[in-house]
Amino acid sequence: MRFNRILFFIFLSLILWSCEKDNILPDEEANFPVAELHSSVQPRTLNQEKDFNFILQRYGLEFDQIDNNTQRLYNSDGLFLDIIEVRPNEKYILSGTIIHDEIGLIVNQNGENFNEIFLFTDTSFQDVLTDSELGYRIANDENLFRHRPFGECFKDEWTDFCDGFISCVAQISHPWTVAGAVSIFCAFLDN
Amino acid sequence: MDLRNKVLLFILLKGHIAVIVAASIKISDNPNADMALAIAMVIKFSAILGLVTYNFSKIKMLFKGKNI
Repeated sequence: MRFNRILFFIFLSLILWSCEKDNILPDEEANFPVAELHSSVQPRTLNQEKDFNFILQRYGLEFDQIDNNTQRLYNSDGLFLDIIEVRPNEKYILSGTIIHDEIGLIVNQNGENFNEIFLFTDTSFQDVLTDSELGYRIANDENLFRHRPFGECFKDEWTDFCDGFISCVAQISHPWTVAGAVSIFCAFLDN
Repeated sequence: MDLRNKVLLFILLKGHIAVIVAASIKISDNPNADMALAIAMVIKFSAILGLVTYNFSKIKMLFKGKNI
C-alpha cells in the first residue's frame, strides 16, 4: 500500500514536471521573429566543415552567450545579432541589426528581407547561406539527404543521445536497450 | 510462480519495451522524449523493486543456502 502511494507521487510529480513550460520566449520576443530557419532543416545534419572561430576572426565579430537560449554576435561598432534558440523545435530566430556588409546579415525589424542566414548547431557554426540559396542548397545538399552508413549513424546517434540528465541516466542504466533502439533507427528509419 | 510475480514480470517486460520506444522517440528528436524515457525507467525500476521486495525472503534464503 505504501509502495503504491510512493509510485503514485512519483508519477504525479513526473506529470506536473512535464507540464512545466520550457524555455518559452516572452510574448514580445516571440512576436519579434526576424528570421526563422526552415522547419525541416536539421542544422546538425549539415556537414559543412567551417570553424566558428574562423568565421568570428574573419569578420571581426565577438561572440557572447547572453543566456541559455540566446547567443549574441557583435562587432566593435556596437551592432549585434542575437541567435535565439526556440526549444523544443530546435529552431533559431535571428534578431538584431546588420552586422557586416560582406556577410550581409541584413535583418530588419518585421521579419522580412534577410539576405543571409546562419545555420547553427548547439556548439558550432555550420554555414552561411543566402536567402535565395537556402532552398537550393537544402534541396541539393547531398550530405543533408544522404543515407549515412550504419556505423556513422550509430556513432552520431549514440553520442547525441546523452543531451540531458534523464537521457544520460537512461543511456547509462539501459545501454543495451538504447543501443538496440539506435540500431533499429539506423538500420531501418534513418533517411 | 504466483500471480503477483507474474504481474511484476509483465510490468518489467512492459518497462523494457517502453524504454525501447522512448529511446526511439528520443532519437527521432521528439521534444517530449525525455518525459517518456523517465516514465519508462520508473515503470521498469518499480517492477524490479517490486520483484525484489516481494521475493526478498526467497533471495535471502538463496544467499543463506550459498553460504552454507
